[in-house]
Amino acid sequence: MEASEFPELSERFDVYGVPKTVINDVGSMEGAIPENTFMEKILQTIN
Amino acid sequence: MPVRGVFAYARQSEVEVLHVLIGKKDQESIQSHFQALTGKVRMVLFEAAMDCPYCSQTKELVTELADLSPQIDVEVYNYHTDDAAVRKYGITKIPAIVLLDGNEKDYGIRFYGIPSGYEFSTLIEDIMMISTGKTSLTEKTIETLKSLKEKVHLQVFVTPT
Repeated sequence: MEASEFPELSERFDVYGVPKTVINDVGSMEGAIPENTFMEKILQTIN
Repeated sequence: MPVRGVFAYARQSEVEVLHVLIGKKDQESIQSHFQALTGKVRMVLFEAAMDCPYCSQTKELVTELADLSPQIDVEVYNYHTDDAAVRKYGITKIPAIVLLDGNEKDYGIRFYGIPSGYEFSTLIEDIMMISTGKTSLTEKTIETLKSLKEKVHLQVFVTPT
């Protein structure tokens, strides 16, 4: 998602710094995340 | 009956195509990466003439990119008139790029907004991934992903650099 082209979405998800990853519209992570941490966060969000 | 706006772009062989967005050096570098492509990749682009300042540049960019390999082609649809395609791929914003493999399989990858700067590399990597079927994920991650029962929607916000 190119943040500056979609300001409504960026606002909706409080995107101030990039990269920001939003999971199922509820979870989020900022910055570059190591693979294992990324997976953990996904699992946390969906469970 | 709506006309399907397909703009299938095959590789230009003899004809010298003017590339305005991808410079000569980058073309060569990308072409050498694309030597590794084994399967076909289709970039499906959704665009419109109105209310989309980055649409025409995005179309130019994906067209130039596809031109760098016979394995890649582009299909262009109009967001306002090609309803069937918009519905099929669930497109809600433009420009949007959908990546499909040679069997038109949709992996759920969507690029929203012009893929410029760092995202251009991401686009190239994704093309390579779909074409070769190889990812850089660990075995553990792959196993975990295979065991997922629920849908996961990831939206990654980026800015052009």
